[in-house]
Amino acid sequence: MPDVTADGLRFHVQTLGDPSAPPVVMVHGMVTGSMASWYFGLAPVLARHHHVFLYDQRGHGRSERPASGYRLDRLAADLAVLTEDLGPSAVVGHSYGGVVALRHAVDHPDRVRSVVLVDSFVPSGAPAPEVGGWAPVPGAAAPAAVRARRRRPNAEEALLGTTLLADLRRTPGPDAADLAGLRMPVLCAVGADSPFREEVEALADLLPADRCRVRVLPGGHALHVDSPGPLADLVSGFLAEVGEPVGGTRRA
Amino acid sequence: MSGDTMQGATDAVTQEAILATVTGMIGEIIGEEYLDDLDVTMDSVITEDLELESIEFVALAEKLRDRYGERVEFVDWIAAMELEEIIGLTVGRVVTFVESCLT
Repeated sequence: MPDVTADGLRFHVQTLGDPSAPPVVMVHGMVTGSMASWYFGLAPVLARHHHVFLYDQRGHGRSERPASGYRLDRLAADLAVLTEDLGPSAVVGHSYGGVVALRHAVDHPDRVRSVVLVDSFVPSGAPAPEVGGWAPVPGAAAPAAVRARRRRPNAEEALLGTTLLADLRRTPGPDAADLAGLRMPVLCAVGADSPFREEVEALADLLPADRCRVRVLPGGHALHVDSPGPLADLVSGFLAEVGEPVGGTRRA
Repeated sequence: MSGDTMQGATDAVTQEAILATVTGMIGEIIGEEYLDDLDVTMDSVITEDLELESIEFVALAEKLRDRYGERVEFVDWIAAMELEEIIGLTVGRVVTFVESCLT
């Protein structure tokens, strides 16, 4: 898959599944996240019936890492540009990736068919999230002795040298009135033991009650790691219910 | 490169040939200069001994797909694993998995 350039930055993009199937865009969480959060879990399950579009957000995974420029509007603009050629899509986001998805839905409601939030919350105003409490990724948990001889800095450690966390805390979430005005269906999956549960439910409360459903699954903040099976069932069922019929034709 | 007679890239199905192929892919991902310092064997743990991060597993999946096509469903195979199993994954398990898909 070729890298794609947006806003002058190089982005790592991958797709899974039949390109003619209904599109699903997956947005990973920040710091320890990358498309790998989805790639070996929820993405191949959804790819059975969908065209799954994955990308590494700026600064993450194999995408370019600018020193600054991590405010919500920039992250959402990246998503909008990268998915410009996809038809109306479901957008799935983990943690802050869900906030990016919501901002994208506010900016481009005609391009977002539905939204799935996986333990998403807005960290602005709150103390900096404990990085160690975020989704574990293979390699990130390497013992100190291993890390000491790493061929290069751990990606998460390197990312902390950017303005990312400061930008996230400085940027307000999407405007409450904008969120209340969303008309597409939204699924909020919440980790029963998530340390951010209050914040996650506070974000869900901003969404229109007649369009938003909240489901609690066993696990913590990294639901895709803690409850991969139940999460896959929940999201697959939701997309089947609210999306176009599998194998259906696009609207003219 | 292995010493086997290779009739074509996709025909190499012996463990030695697949190990050489996978080792080459890992070298492309982490940089050949690092590969020189590493002894890649069937027992090498991919996350710890070779220090591959999760996003580099995606790169490995892409290379396997480019090389072997849909015969090797590496993504589905990894997706069915628990996190601990992925963290403990050895080169040998990948090699024998590829071999089982090709034979």
